[in-house]
Amino acid sequence: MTPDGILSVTGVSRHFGGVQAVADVSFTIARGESLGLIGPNGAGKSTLLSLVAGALAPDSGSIRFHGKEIAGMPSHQVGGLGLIRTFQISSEFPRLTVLQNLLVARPAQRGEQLWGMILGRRAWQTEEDSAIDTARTLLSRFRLSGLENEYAGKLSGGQRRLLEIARALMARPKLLLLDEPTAGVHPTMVGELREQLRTLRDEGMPILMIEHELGIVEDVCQRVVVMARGRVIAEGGLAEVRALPEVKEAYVA
Amino acid sequence: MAAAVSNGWQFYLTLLLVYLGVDIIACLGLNIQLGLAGVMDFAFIIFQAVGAYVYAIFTLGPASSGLGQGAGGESYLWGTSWPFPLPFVMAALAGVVLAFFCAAVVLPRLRGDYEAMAFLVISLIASGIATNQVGLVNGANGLYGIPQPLSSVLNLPAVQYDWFYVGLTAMICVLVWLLTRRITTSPMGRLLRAVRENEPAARALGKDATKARMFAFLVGGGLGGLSGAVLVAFITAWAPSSWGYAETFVYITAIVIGGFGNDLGVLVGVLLVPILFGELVRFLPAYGRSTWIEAAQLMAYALLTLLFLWFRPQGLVPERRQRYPAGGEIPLDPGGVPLARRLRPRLGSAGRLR
Repeated sequence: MTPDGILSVTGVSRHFGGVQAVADVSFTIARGESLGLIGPNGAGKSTLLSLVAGALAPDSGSIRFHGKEIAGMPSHQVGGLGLIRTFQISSEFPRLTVLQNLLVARPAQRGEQLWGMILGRRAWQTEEDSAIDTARTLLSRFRLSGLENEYAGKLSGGQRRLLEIARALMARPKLLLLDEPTAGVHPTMVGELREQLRTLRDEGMPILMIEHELGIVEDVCQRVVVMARGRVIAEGGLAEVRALPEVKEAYVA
Repeated sequence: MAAAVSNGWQFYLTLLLVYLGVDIIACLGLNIQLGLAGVMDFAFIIFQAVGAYVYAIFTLGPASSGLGQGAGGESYLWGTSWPFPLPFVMAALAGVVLAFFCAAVVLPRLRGDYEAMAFLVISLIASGIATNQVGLVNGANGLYGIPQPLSSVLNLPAVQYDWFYVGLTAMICVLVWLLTRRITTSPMGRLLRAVRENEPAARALGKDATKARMFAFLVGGGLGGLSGAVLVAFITAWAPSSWGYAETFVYITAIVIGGFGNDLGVLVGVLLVPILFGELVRFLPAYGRSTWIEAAQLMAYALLTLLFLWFRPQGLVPERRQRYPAGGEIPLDPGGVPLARRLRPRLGSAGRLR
């Protein structure tokens, strides 16, 4: 394992009642690397992602992001450090427009501070204008420009996924956590998503991704971690891991 | 005789206008909590109540002789008489402080229906305390003879003073409107809407949703307190029967009908619900028990709320879709070339947008 990984998870466990959802999981993401998290349903992948993102606190273990301990930190602080997640169920702000969805995500806005609000537009308009520019650039990249003023709740499932990734990028992530970005997306849209994820990989954006569509995992991630019943059962390149008997068995069982 | 009749109408008209102002201040505050941040504040009326009591205590003068006996034989805690604008400021601050304590108990843990229940219970507790701790604010009899601002300085005849007070209320309304607009049109307003729509997603983007909700709640509490002071300084009496928990629902009805999350909609709602609708009921013929009218009013409010939530959940003036002016050149990037680069929150069904 690379010692200077951007994210290192060590011995993390979490249970819900009598169910050990995540048991003693360890892995590292190296600089410039993207990692796929795969495994059968109920393996604990989403729980693990929530633990990393601060939505849940682990029972034990350590999660370090750029050397800083983040286990148990509230999710907005984790987000503030640049660990930005997306959700398994698309989580747009339905009654904000597409553009507003992105604008919300801009970190540390003056207009969100008390003094900024009291001073009014003079305090935050410049910042807002630059945020609008950035947001529009992102929207055109994700081919959502024409929908700028549409309510996000009116988008199709695939468009919502694209919007959620665009919104995550607006938050200036240092590591993207994607929870099944193609779940529930129409097949024609999956190709679009795949292309966008590939572009992100080419730009060197580190990604930790849960995905059942192994073709996409292969495209985006250099390495995968295979989980089953809360534990890591294999780790390595996708092709090499797929050949392992214990992985095959986990998917059958 | 003619002059006396016209005076009567003027008293009624000024009272109505002050009510309008009070309801506008209160509903703008409640809308920040409920419409913008999605906090199910079913206890809003207690902020108005505390504002009214604090105004009274800061104007009535010290409670004389030992166990807090005021000049008029009312018993209350402490008491002083501060000059004009200060009691209003103290009332707003009292609203903020009370909101802080309520929020500290409710906001971090409860959401949606549970949040609403907790606030409803807080409203009942507050009413119980004010009624039964007689030494606090004179119990069920309430406080009366509360001084009107600047009345001794101006020394005007009653009708003229009332019109002066209408002007003062209007000025306060304008200030409150400007403050509210600053909040609702700022990026903070947008963040509050985002938190209302999907709190976990807002948190995941690094936004402190609890802080944002708390902020909205405190502002709403402060405006509630201010509205109480403006009201009580005009009607000069205040008792627990003035602020039953049901009064909150009158305001909620106004917001639902006017338009959730839209400041202009709130104005429309206030004009239609407590003012127009509420006053029309007053002119119904007297029939049976005298309490019938009041009960019918509340039932009608409830019915209105239900009908609107069912048929027009966005209200008469829906929350505006904010468009942003086009900037310079929007880069067209078809190839994806790398560039350096739910009360409706809960009341309606999430899927129905317009």
